[in-house]
Amino acid sequence: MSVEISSTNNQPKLPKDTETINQLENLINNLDNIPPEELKSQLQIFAKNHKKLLQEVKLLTSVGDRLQKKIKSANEMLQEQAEEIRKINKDLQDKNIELQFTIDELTKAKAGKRATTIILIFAIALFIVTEVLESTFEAFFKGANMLIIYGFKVFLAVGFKPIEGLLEKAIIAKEMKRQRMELEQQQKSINPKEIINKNLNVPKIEVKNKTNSENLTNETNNANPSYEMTSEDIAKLERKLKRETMKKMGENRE
Amino acid sequence: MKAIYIQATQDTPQVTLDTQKGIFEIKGNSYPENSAQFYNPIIEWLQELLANGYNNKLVFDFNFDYFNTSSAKFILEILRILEEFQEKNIETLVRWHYFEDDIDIFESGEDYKSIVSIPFELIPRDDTLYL
Repeated sequence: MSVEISSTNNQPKLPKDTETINQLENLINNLDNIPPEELKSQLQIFAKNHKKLLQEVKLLTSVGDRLQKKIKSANEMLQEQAEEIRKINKDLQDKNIELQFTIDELTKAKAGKRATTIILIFAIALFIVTEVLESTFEAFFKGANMLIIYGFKVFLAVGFKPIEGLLEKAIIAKEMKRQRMELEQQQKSINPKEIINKNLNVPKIEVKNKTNSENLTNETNNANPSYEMTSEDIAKLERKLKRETMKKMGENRE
Repeated sequence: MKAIYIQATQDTPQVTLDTQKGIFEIKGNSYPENSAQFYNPIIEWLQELLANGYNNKLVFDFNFDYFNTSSAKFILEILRILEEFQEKNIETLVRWHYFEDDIDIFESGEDYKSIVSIPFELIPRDDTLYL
């Protein structure tokens, strides 16, 4: 039995497949000339070959169905993961906003504290100066109405609060500008995809299939990179971001 | 007879056909660009072995991770040749290995087992050995 395998358009085909049909056609064409015994024998061969082909068809259909099912489930899984990634991204964005808000609040609190300290130092300094120079001050305003003197002192005392506010605003503006610049620099130098892969050790989905639908699967795969982030991973990322922010705040305070 | 050793690639399996060592094995992934081109030498080799009157016990191991439809056809062709060995009273055994969680390979093995009339064993693979 020769097994010369021909291939047309990459579709492998064994000659046995067509051989069976050719034999049957020959049998039909020469039906009148074939003795009954030989006819029986030929039909037996045909039945045997037909049985084999039928088994083959059943097998290939079964294998094909399984592969189709596999591709379908792989695609579904990819879609689910893409949806999950979208949700995670949205969560991350929300957390980022929340985190930024917290950072802003902390910055404001820090600036307020700094402004109060400056004003307090200024007030103490002013108090000392006025105490030391009281006699000179009184001599300067000698003859003037005492109300003007007290009024000036009250003006100075009351003026501390708005001065503190102005000072606080200036410090906040300066701090915000610095943070914005830092953030811009970080965004330029950081590729978020790399960070996620590096920190979370994201596994890749391997699509084994190499049939016609492989392209479709791969396209889906490319369009929606296959990150598998669990809630634990997100929490880990959040903790890391918070740690880094707190560390930076600490450095700034120092 | 000269043995056949084919290294595995990403889309073709590792093939070992060695009468001296008594190893007949196809292992790995099978989704070649041209299945006929890949399996033709294997089929020819087995037919030559059959024609040369090989008369030792023949244990053929199929150890697939994955195979495509056209490979499935050629696997069946190999099994048909093994059937011919059996018909010539040469003790033949097919061992079909599968991972316990790989239902597809297991079911394919069952399909083949139901088609061919040779001793056919379905053997689960130990996952831990492949980690």
